[in-house]
Amino acid sequence: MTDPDDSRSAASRTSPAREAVDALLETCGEAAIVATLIDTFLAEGPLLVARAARAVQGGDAPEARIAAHTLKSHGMTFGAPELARVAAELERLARDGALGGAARGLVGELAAEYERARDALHELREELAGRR
Amino acid sequence: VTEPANVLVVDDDAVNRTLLSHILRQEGHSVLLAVSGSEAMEVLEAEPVDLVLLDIRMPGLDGLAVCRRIREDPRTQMLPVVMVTAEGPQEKLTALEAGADDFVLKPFDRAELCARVRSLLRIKRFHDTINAQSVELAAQATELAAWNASLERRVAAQVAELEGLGRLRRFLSAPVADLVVDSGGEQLLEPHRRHLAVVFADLRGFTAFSETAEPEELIDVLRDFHNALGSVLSRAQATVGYFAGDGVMAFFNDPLPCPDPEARAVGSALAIREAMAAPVERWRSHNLGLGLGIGVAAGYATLAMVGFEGRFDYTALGTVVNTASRLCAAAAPGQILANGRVVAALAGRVETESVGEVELRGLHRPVPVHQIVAASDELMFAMRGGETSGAGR
Repeated sequence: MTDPDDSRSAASRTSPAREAVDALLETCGEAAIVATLIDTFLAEGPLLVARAARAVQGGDAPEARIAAHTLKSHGMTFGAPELARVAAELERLARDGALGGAARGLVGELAAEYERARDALHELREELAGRR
Repeated sequence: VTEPANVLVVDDDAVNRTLLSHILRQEGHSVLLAVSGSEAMEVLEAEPVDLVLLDIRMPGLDGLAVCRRIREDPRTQMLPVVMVTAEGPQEKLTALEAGADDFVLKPFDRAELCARVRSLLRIKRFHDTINAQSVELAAQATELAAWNASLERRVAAQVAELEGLGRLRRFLSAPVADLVVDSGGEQLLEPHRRHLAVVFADLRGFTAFSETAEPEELIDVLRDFHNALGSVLSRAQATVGYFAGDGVMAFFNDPLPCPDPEARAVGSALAIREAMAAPVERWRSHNLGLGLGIGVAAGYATLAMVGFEGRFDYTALGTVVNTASRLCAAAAPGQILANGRVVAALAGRVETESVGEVELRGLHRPVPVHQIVAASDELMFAMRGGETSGAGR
């Protein structure tokens, strides 16, 4: 269990990530499923970020678009609005085939936002494990 | 409570697949998963699917393309498709244009997702029911057509039977024709020998009369003759073996046996003479030179269908027929001549006068011939159709 008084923690009582996980718990009704969803996000996230980076570098707009789209979806599902926003921006650029400097800059932001989301969810994931 | 259905979830994102399949399984459905559009098409080809939850944005074949293919295939034309997207309402129109039935946004609202799935499955079941009913109706129509065909065959068989009956009625009285049909049909008409009583009746002087008479007179005379013959022979249940304008040959005891054929033959002869009394009197008063002669004989004959295709007649052949014919020819107007067998069979029931031994043409020796004068009431009873009055004098 994390310290509930640590207000800087992404997993604090009022964080978007906590609200998202609570919503998932309500939707699924089972902590184990939500844990599985978080595990999937934690496993796929780095792969998606790497795919997006590789595609932007290699000029593969459709690939960059799909990777960014999935990260956007994950950001919305798991309460990481900044991850969702950056991913959506990259998705839009990729849709227009604009994989230039702006897209490269977004790849860097995407990696950073994913890491922040990952940290928050990691803590929540441990909470769920503790509830079982 | 939702009825369980087979739901196909198509999403390249593992998180969404896990989430959707979990929710749907909790609702009681069976979930099939596809990670791409092309895999979705394979699943649809191989599995029975009741509803598709389809992610729009996928690499390769995307959700819109999958939806169009589903709509193009007649087998899946009516399959409910719910599009899933994170894009928000702006993509709704694109999804609907591709043929989607409904639309849900990520992240999912469970209640909304379940409500949309339930409603579409209800429509699907309704559609399936209608389909099943139309298949059933088609099967019933086929069955009905088969029944009709069988009915037609039976009607055709009955028509053929009726045609056979119609043919029989030409030479059998109606009750006899019915009996023949009822008791096994036309095999009764196969060639065979039987004891018969035969009646010949013939208009004297008809050939000469027809040469000079007006057609109207001719028709009137024949009508009187035929009316008398028709009612008497029909009532006596005679078989008509030969019929010409001015003469008739009828016989008894075949094709169906009857009791007392000689009595029927003589009774018929007397009844014909009685029925013809008035016309004959009228002809005499008009000096038409016409009269009625009748011959009756009993004996064995061969019975068979004779004639040619399309015109077969059932008739009697043999000495008894020739004898009756010659007796008829030998009879004076108004006279009924019979051979010895007839008179012997009716001993005590008919009043006769011997005419002596007569040489009949075609017979190599003279035969004893008798004139029938009258018959007992009892004998005549049936011939008059139940009237009891008077002897056949």
